[in-house]
Amino acid sequence: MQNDGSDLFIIILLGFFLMVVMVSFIVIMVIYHRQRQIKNQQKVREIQAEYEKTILNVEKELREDILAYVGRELHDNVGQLLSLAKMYLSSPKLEKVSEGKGMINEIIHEVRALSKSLNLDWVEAISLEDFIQKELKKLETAEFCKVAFHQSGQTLQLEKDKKLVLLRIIQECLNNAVKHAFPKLIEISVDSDSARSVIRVRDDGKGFEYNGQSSGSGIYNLKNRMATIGGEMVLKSAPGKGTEIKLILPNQNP
Amino acid sequence: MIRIALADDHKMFAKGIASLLEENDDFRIEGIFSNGLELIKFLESNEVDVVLTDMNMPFLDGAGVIESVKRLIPNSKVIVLSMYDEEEIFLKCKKLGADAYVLKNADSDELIYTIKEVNEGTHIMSFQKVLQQNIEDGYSDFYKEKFKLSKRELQLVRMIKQGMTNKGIAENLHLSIHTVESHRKKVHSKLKVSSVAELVKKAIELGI
Repeated sequence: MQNDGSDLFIIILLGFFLMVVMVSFIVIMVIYHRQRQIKNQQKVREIQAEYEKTILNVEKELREDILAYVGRELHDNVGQLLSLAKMYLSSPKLEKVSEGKGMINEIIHEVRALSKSLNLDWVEAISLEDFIQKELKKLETAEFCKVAFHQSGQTLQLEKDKKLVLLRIIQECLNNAVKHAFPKLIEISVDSDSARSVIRVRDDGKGFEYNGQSSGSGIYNLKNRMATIGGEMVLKSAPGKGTEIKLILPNQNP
Repeated sequence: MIRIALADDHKMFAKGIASLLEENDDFRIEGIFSNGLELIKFLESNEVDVVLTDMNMPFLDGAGVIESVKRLIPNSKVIVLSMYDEEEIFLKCKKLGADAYVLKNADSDELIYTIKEVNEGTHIMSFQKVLQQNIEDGYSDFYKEKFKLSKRELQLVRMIKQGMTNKGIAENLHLSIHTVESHRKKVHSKLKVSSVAELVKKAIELGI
C-alpha cells in the first residue's frame, strides 16, 4: 500500500512535469511564431519604405533634371532669342522690325512651354512612348547625334509610380550616352506583348569594358531601381562596340 | 569690304546676326557655322578678315576657335560674341588672343563698330566697356530715329558738350583716339555742323 502511494505520487509528478514541458513548448512556439511574424512585417515595411524612397528620389531627380533643362534653355535659347529680337527691333528697316516682333512671338511660345514642363503633372499624362520620343527629339535638336525610335506590339500600360521610375531610368541611360559614349546614333525600341515589355536603348558610341559586374554605382543604381518595380535590366557593352541596355518589365495583366 | 565668318550653335541667332550684318555694305558674310569645328575646316581653305564666335558650342568651343584661328591664320581677327558678362571668361578670351569681346545683348551698332575697329586694328579691349553694353539708354531711340545718331555718337556729343577732349573721351569710352576722331567726323556730317562751337550750340538746341 505504501508502495502504491509513492507510485501515485511519481505518476502525478511525472504528469505535472509533462504538462509543464508541453505548456512551455506551446509558449515558446507562440513566441517564436510571433517574432517571425514581426520580422516578416518589418521586412514588408522595409521593402515598402525602399519603394517609396525610390519613388521620392526619382521624382526629385526628374525635378532637378527639369530645372537644369529650363535653366539651360533660358540661357542658351530664350536669352539669345531675346538678344536677337532686341537688335532686330532697333533696326531702322521696317522688315527687320517686323521679324523682331515675330521673334518675340516665338519667345512667348518657348517660355510657355518651359513653364509647363516645370510642373511634374505632365508625367501622369504622357505615355512612355511619347516621353521617349520627346527626349530623343531634345538630343536631335541639340544636334548631339542622330536618333531613331521603333515600336512594336501594344502600347505600354503602366501605373504612375512605375512609369515615373521607368522614365527616369531611360533618362539616365540617355544621360550616360551623352556624357560618356559620344555616339553617332541612339536608338530606342519598345517591344511589348502580353507577357512582358522590353525597352532597348542602344548607342554606337565608345562603349566600355563590362563583365556583368557593376563597375560604378550608376549601373548598380539603375539595376536596383529596375528591381524595385519588379523588372530587370541587362547591359551589354564593349570598347568600340557601343552599349545596349535592355529594360525588361513583366506585364501584370496578361 | 570686310569678310566675315560666323559660328554659333543657335542657328537662328547665327542667321539673324548674319542678316543684320549683311545690311551693312562694308561687310560680306562668307560662312555661317553651327560649331567651331566646321568653322575651322572652312577657314583652312577660305580666307576671311574677321571671325565671330560664340563661346558654348559642341565639338569645338569658343576658346578652341580662338586658339585655332590664332595658330592657323594669325592674320585673321577673332571677336567673341558671348552671353556671359563675367570677367573671368572675358580675361580667358583675352589671354587666348581674342581681339574683341561683345555681349550678345549689346546694340547691333556696337557690334558693327567693333568689327570695323578690330579690322582697322584700333580696338581696345576692356571689361568696363563690355559691362557698358548691358546698360540700355532709353533716350537713344529718339535721337536714332531723328538724326540717325548711334548710341555711341550720342555719348560722344554729350561728352563734347561737357568740354571733354578727344583723349578724355577715348579713355572714358575705352576707345582709341583714332576711333573717337572718326566718330566726330560722322557726327559733324550727320548734324550738319563744321566746328565744335556749332556742334555744342546744336546739341543744346536739340536738348542732347
